[in-house]
Amino acid sequence: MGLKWTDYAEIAEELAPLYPDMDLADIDYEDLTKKIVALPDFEDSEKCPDENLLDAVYSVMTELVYGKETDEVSSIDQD
Amino acid sequence: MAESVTKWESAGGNNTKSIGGNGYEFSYTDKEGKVQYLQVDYGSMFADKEKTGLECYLPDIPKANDILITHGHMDHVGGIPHLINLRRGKTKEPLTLHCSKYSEQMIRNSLTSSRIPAEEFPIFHTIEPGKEFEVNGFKVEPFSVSHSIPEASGFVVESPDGVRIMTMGDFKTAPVPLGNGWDDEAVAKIAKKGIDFMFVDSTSASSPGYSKGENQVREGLKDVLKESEGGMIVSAMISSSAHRLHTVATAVANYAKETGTEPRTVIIDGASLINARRALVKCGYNIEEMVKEQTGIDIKIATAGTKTAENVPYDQRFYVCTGTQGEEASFVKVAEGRNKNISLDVPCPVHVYNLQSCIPGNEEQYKGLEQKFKDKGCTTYFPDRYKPNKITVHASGHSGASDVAHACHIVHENSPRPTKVVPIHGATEQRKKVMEIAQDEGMNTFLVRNFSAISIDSEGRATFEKAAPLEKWITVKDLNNDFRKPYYEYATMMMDIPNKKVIDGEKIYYKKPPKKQKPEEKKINVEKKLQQIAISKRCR
Repeated sequence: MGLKWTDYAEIAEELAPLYPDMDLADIDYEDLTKKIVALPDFEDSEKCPDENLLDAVYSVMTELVYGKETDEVSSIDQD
Repeated sequence: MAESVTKWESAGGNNTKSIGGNGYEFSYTDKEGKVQYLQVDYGSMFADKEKTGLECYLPDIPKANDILITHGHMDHVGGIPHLINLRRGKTKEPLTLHCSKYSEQMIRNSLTSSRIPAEEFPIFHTIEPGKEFEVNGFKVEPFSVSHSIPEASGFVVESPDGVRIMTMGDFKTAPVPLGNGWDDEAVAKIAKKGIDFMFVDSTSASSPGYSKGENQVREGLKDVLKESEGGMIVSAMISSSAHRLHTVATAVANYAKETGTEPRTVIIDGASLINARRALVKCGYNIEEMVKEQTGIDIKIATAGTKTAENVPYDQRFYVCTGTQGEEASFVKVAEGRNKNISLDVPCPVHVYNLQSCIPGNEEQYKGLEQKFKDKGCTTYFPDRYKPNKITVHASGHSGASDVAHACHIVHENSPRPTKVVPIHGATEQRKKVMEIAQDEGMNTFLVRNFSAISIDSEGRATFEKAAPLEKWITVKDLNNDFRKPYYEYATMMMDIPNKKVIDGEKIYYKKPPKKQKPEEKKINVEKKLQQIAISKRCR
């Protein structure tokens, strides 16, 4: 069984190396959907059932490209 | 038949020294003894990973299936992904979070960062200031407050007995640029319905006067821009405290307008800031459009590492990074020459500004970070937390003494019932300061320790339950130590506060999320299984 829309982390891991120049602060759901559907492992409907899943892909891709940061809880009171 | 009881219990957050791990539990026991729960926040507390090997500490697992979220900072919501892990397979009840849209985005980012399966995400109920709702028999009325993060809320929770408790969340009274902020009239209106107890943020209560607003930072940033003419600016902010990004962009626009120059391009760097920027847009805060409307100036916010950012002349760049305290993030990587997107080796002077003062206890790392920039020949400006600063580049999100007095005064003046003030979210000294301020307003006050409770009967009589000598916390460790594939281990830990001892507890076993197999792994597994079948057939 291939990737489903709910597999946001796996999708992001496959996408991140393919599109290193993508502006990850820019929300373009149409473009992201096209890129996901074009993944060879992807086996789900062509339309994402929930925008939040696309946001989750963006979020994980951002961490993969820019590196995960020490949790800001270290900034104690988030002044 | 027993008396009905409304109870408030501190499950974390009222720590002796450190701040964090905020969690408060409301419960209502009816005459038949049936108990309903409602939690406020479930935050994480800093564990100093280098020393302890732990990701963070959490308050005990909430009994409630519903959590009211005051705002999206990690010390208030950082426990949510772990709570989902700990609840897996133990309850069929869904977890519902009652929060603002921006808080939801912050929580969603935290869930994906912890790789919580999408199917297990909680239900999000979007709250609106002044719009009452009911949950588990409690009436809840949210009201907006100002804080460093957009869309922070306070709540008034009314039990079926009519006991009304106001929990302020982290707050100050200065106006905020994004979303709603503190509103005297709204607080007065809510107080008019009666407040029995008022729980007040104590974090900065020892600071005299009102906490500064972003408008003062905006003015300060004009000086930053003036002093940095002809040079590149590298700065840092706490990413989730996103008002500051708006403040930077507005200051850039105002400065360009006043001087008749081209506005600098604001370039953001760091995963959490990029995620926060998308969250802002999702919540309807398009900073570029807002600034254009407010100032008439077109400004550009670019993302570091993109072609748009690379094409900006060095002396026109205003970088905003993550990692104000020197933690492993974009800012320290710049200082150490490890940031692939930002180099200090440029053909113009570099001016470095920390848009956040030092968090108490972090002085050494904060100074060390500034020194690293100085060693690279940069001009630096890191504000002092305790002394007056030449330039205002930071405003705290927490109430100063005058904010606390202001809030107490409004509630005291408008509530038809006597209101008792209980300081929370601060070390003991700061909580005592809130008591002094409230007493000056003529209000009764109570100092409540962590893990102690207040019970209120149907007649409004309150009794206090003393805290147990041991504080129960949950420790979080990532056994994989790999953010791509976190493998969390949870254990209980008892803190013996009077004797300053930590007693390790037991491991908490939890059901792991279903593992997603890659197609090639599946193929290998199928081949292995076929081999095993063949072997077992041969054995027979």
